[in-house]
Amino acid sequence: MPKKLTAIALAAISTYPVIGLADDTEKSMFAFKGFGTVGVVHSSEDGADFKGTVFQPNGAGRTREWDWGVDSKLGGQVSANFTDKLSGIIQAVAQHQFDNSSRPLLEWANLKYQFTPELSVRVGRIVLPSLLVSESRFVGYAQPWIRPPEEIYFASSITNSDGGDITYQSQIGEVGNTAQAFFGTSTAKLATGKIEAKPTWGINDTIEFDSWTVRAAYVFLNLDLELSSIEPLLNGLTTLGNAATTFGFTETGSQALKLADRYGLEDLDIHIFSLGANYDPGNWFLMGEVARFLGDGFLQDQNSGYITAGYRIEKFTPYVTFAMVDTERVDESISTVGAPGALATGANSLSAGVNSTLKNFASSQKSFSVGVRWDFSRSADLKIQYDRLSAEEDTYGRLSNAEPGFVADKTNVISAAIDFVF
Amino acid sequence: MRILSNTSCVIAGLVLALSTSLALADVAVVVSAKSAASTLTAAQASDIFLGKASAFPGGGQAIPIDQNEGSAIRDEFYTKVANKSAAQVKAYWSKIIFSGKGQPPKEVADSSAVKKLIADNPNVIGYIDKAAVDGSVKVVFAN
Repeated sequence: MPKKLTAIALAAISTYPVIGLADDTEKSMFAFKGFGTVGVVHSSEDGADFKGTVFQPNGAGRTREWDWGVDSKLGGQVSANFTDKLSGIIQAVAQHQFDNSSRPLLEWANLKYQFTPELSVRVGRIVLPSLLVSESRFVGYAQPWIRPPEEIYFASSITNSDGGDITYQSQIGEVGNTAQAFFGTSTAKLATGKIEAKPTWGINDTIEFDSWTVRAAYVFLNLDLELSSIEPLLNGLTTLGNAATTFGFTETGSQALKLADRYGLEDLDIHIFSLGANYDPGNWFLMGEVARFLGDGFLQDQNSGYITAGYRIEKFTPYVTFAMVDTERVDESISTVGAPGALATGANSLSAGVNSTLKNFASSQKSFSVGVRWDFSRSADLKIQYDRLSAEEDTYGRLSNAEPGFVADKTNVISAAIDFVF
Repeated sequence: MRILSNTSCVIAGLVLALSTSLALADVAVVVSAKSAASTLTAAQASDIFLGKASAFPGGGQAIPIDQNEGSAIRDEFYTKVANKSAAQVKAYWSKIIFSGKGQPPKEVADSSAVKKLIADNPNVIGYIDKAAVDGSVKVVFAN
């Protein structure tokens, strides 16, 4: 018996490519790669800040004349191929973030198992794939613009979740299809508090054919917001509502309580529907996305979209983008009919507080951008971009940190960035 | 005058046609002569090298091998077969690498290094100078 087994084993080994040479065609177990952007931004509006993500505490314009934190970032990843089916990846990204530091944050840490060439499952911290470039959102080198259009990408600011996903890829003739579903939880910190998604889940499908890529996605998030600056407002509404009801001013009381309930910070159901397409025959490309954001509480419903066109001439790729975001603005009031002076004043001040918070959470803006990318080196590019932002409809547009009395109008933003990969 | 301009047009046309076909003729996509793989279309070859397909259309694992980044033959291959410039290929792989979806093909120094790997593993597919084609390899795409 043993002799036969030995013979079989030897036969098996001899038909296999010799181990040393097989290694030449196989990938080594660990690979370290990185990417980054060094960018500077100047905004003509000094009454408010232009930021790169919602998690940045400040930006260009009001806080800084020339801001290096808006777009600059450095990312590194280690990927490991443990077996031909099991792999893992860890990615960390450092950028200007909520506590005004640039400490690296762990973006991903997951294991992937490839059951068949079509079906794979990942477990751990994975990307939250809301939009077309979500999966390489921080990699400037892989994108035509300096930053993904903020009109649409800001509402999908949570970039990862802890949980898992399942992906099914298939090829039918010339058409490639990738379907994916994910489920997890996520926590992200803001300058003013925290956002927790418990849970978040979604599905998406991408079709690739010839020069076309088309993607449809749905993401659901149940959010708990921890925003210490807003809690006093909600407590005030509850207190006033209860007091008014107790003393018989039922209209004022019930309306105040209704607002306290409607604008609570917990258990907010958010739905994001998006559709994106990219047509890239080589010499030029056209790329666009639309998204419908159904919010809850202070997060009002929003429609957003953009279209980008680019043309490749030698090492230069000029591009132009039109983008818009439109928030369906809500305005609240508390009836003060029959209410005595002090109560009416209190109710009015609280409803004004609700409305100014609603305005802070809203953004309606149209923008036009023009820029050029220069691939001056094999692993780096230089981009220069001009954005003209027009805020609309009683919002601050996509600007934040507005000074008191600020009215948003038109803003010119000039940016330059060098992206690199290594 | 007219005859001259017509002739020069014809000559220009010929030169253009010749130079295009000469440029294409420089690169041959090859597999092992022992491989069961048959001819590929540009799209099929492109899918393998861009990591979208890991098997030959007729079956069998396909392991693509690149020549060094920046080499003329590599740029020629991607321009003719995948219709992508070197920068586009790099940006494409950056998107794939940094979304954790895969890794680019291994790189070797030249056509003879490609042939050596093909000789050692019949699943390997690579591109070489057409002048380097010999009995050890089979051409699956050249035009």
